[in-house]
Parts: sequence; structure tokens; C-alpha cells
Amino acid sequence: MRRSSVIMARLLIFATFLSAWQLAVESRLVEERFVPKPSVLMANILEILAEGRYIDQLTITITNYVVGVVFGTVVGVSLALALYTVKYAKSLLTPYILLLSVVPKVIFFPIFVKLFVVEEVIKIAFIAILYVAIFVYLGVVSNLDLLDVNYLRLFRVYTRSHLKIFRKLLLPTVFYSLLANIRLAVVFALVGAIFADMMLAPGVGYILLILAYSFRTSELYAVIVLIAATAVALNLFMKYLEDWASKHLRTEQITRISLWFN
Amino acid sequence: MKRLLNLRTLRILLTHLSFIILLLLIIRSLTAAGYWSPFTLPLVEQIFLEFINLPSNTLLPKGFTHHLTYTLSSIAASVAVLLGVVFPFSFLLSIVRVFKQVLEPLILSLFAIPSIIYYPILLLLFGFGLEPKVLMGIIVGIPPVFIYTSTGVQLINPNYANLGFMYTRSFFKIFSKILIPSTLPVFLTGIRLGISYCVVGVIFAEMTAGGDGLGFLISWSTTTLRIPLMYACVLAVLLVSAAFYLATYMVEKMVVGGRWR
Repeated sequence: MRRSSVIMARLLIFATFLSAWQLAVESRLVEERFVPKPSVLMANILEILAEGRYIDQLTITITNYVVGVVFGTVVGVSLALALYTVKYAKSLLTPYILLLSVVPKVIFFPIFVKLFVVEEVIKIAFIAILYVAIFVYLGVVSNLDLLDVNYLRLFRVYTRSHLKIFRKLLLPTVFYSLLANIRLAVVFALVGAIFADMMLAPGVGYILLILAYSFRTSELYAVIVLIAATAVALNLFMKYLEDWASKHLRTEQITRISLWFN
Repeated sequence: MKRLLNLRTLRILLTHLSFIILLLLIIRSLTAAGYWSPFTLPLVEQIFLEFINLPSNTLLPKGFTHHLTYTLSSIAASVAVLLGVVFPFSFLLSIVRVFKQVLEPLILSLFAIPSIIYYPILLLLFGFGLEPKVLMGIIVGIPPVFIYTSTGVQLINPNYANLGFMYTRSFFKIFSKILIPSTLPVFLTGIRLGISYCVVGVIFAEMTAGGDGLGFLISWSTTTLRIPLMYACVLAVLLVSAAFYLATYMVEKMVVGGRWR
């Protein structure tokens, strides 16, 4: 299929979906109390954006989320690099971290509440440790495992400084996979941020539950669309950053390493 | 050789066991020394006692067995739909080129959105019963199943299928003898991840709203300040999800290892 036909087909599917939705609500096949008309939903989204309603709640969530992602990345990378140097500790701890990545992380939220007490700290720690650091750690560790040991041996011939090996070999090695891991963690971290809001006000997750419980359906759908748009924008931004890094930084890094050898 | 392997496994197990015991002893002595309040982290033996007494605990509303059965049945229903509907649908979508070109990017872009934001809609539509929990499990489990199925289909070498068509015109034979075996490891990884995500979805749904399930027990014990019970329930959910993960992992290993081929 040609690209233009594919785009046309996608637009057609989207338009059919919206028309079917509108018709279903108008013909009372679906109750408007539960599913609003797309036209009403669109009007509601524009209204929320114009009034700036819930922006403060979205700001709280996004702030916690961004701080969590940054903090979690630092923790994840540091832990992976630290454990890489102590092989025994790595082999001892990695199975538990792997187990943490597959169990429902939401069950640990009450423990975080008890441990960290302050609302923002709870949310940031929850996002950072359980949703970002674990994924970043596992990604970085698997990438470090792929590192050719001969490089490490070669570096050790030239220097005994751990800091230099860390800066010149380990950090560049993990950098590229790091962006891909952060991109993955960004999606999961948003799940953590919204769940934390649902459990502990304020935040956009709390607003979602309040709107659902008070049957303000069209507003609920509008907020969901806004969160979805934010999530897609964040994902696209991370993808752009990853592409940019892989295009611009690779040659520079290789040059830097070869210069250092000379 | 076998004996050596067994000794190695035993050594690893003993190392992990001693690590866990040491960790628990440190936590216990720190709690006993008053480094943190027992309200934050109770004594380890209190948590274990509470965990052992879970099935006979009369304080729990409706009893522990009811909640365990509820969670297990929600997960089972979600997994059944994932295997019976989502997987075949993903497979069909991946092998029909037109569908793949048009729909796949649309579906993949949906996965960037955190699926838990749909839960309030499910609550609105279905109330606090079993349905929203099962649906939440399905919604959370769809992305890995879809992505891995699509990747698996991409890995099929078309020459094998063409060769198959030279010998038979039966699509079913091509499907069962070539398509499925050549992509089985990838499909199984997707299904394994899908099932563990399903567990996550169900527990999240139980914790957020409703009055049944292990997730509800965690929320309930937190709000009623029964802290050792809360830790015991967390341990129970951990065991349930680890059991699901291990079971699917072992099935995957057995199938990929060739025992069932």
C-alpha cells in the first residue's frame, strides 16, 4: 500500500470510529450518562484548556513525575555501575531486582507511605525507585554485560584510575541504551505517578477518581484525553532525544576515546 | 557432572537463603533498637505470624480465602481472554499486511498512554464488581502480547512458508507446522509478560476500588492501621504474582526446550 493510501485509510478509520460513537450516543444505544458525545467531549477539552482548569493538578503530577524520573535514573545508573564492579553483589541482588520488576509494584505504595510520610517525597520515591530505577538498572546491567572484557583489559593497561575507566569506558557504553531504557521507564513512571495520585491527593489521578465518582462523565473523558496527549507527547520527546543522541553523539564519542588513547 | 550442578544450585540457594535471613535479622534488630517506629515497619516475626494466620484470621471482612479466590478468578478470566481473544486477534492483525500497515501504528501509539487512566471509565460503566477488574487485567496485558506477536510474525522467514505451500495447500498445516513452531519462543515471551501484566492490572483495580480481592485487603489494612497485616498481605500478593510468573516461565522453558514440540 502507498503511504498516502495508508494515511487516508487511518483517517477514514478514525472518522468512522468518531461517527459511530456520535451516532451510538445520539440514538441512545449507549447512555450519555456513561459515554459523552465526541462533540461534547471536544467542547469540554477546549473549555478546560481555555480556563486552565486542572492545570495546577497536572503540574503537580508532572513535577513529581519529572523529579522521579531524574532521581530514578541517577539511582539506577549508580547502582548498576557500583554493582558492576562488585560481581558477587550483582549476582546476589539482581534476581531480587528482577523479581521486583515483574510483581505488581502498586502493592508497595502503602509501605512507601509509612516510610516516607511526606506526600511529595512518597510519590517521588515511589516513581523513582519502583518505576524508573529498576528498569534503568536492568537495562544498564544487561548492556554492561555485553561490554567486551578486552576493552576493559586494554583500559587497565593504560590506567589504574577507576574514575577514568568509569568516565571513558563505562559511561559511554551505557549512555545509548540508557536513553532507550529511560524511554521505556517514562511510560511506566507515568503509570506510577497517576496511581500515586489516585491513592494520595492532590494530582491528576485523584481528579480522575473524583470525576468518576461524581458522574461528571464528559469532564472525566476530557481529562483522560489530556493525560493521554501528555503521555504521547512525552514519549515522542524521548524518541526525538534518542534519535538525536544516536545521530550526533556517536562520532563525537568515538573521536573522544581515540583522542584519549593518543 | 549432574552432582556438581546440584551442588552449585544448592550453594546458590544457600547463599540467597543466608542473605535473606541476614537482611531480616538486620531489619529486626533496627526495629527493636527503635531506629524506626514499629508503626512504620513492625517486627519481622509479627509480620510472619500475621502471614501464617491469614487463612484463619477472623478479623478480615469475608475471610482471606474469599479474597484469594476472587483475585485468582479475576486473573484467570483476564488470562483466558488474553489467550483466547487478544492473541489470535494480534496474530491475524500481524499476518494480514493491510491491517498491519494501517492499524499497527495506531494500536502501538495507544500503548504509550498509561492504561490505568481507563480504570475510572470502567468503574463508571461496570461498577465495583468483578468485570472492571477483569477488563483492567486485559487492558494492561494487551501491549506485550500484541507487540511480541507482531515481532514474532515479522521473524517468520517467508521462504519457509513458500516451501510449505509447495507441499500442501492446507493453510492449517502451514500454520501449525511452520508458522507457529518458528515463532513460538517470541509468542510465549509475549504471553508470559502479558500474564504478569494481567496480575498487575487486577491488583491495581482491586486496590483502587471495590471490596474484594487481595489488593483490597492491602488497602483495607492500611486504612485501618493494621500494619503487620498490611505487610502480610503484600507478602501474599508477592507470592501469588511470583508463582504466576514462575509457572509461565517454566511452561515457556518446557515448550521452547522441545519437550512439548
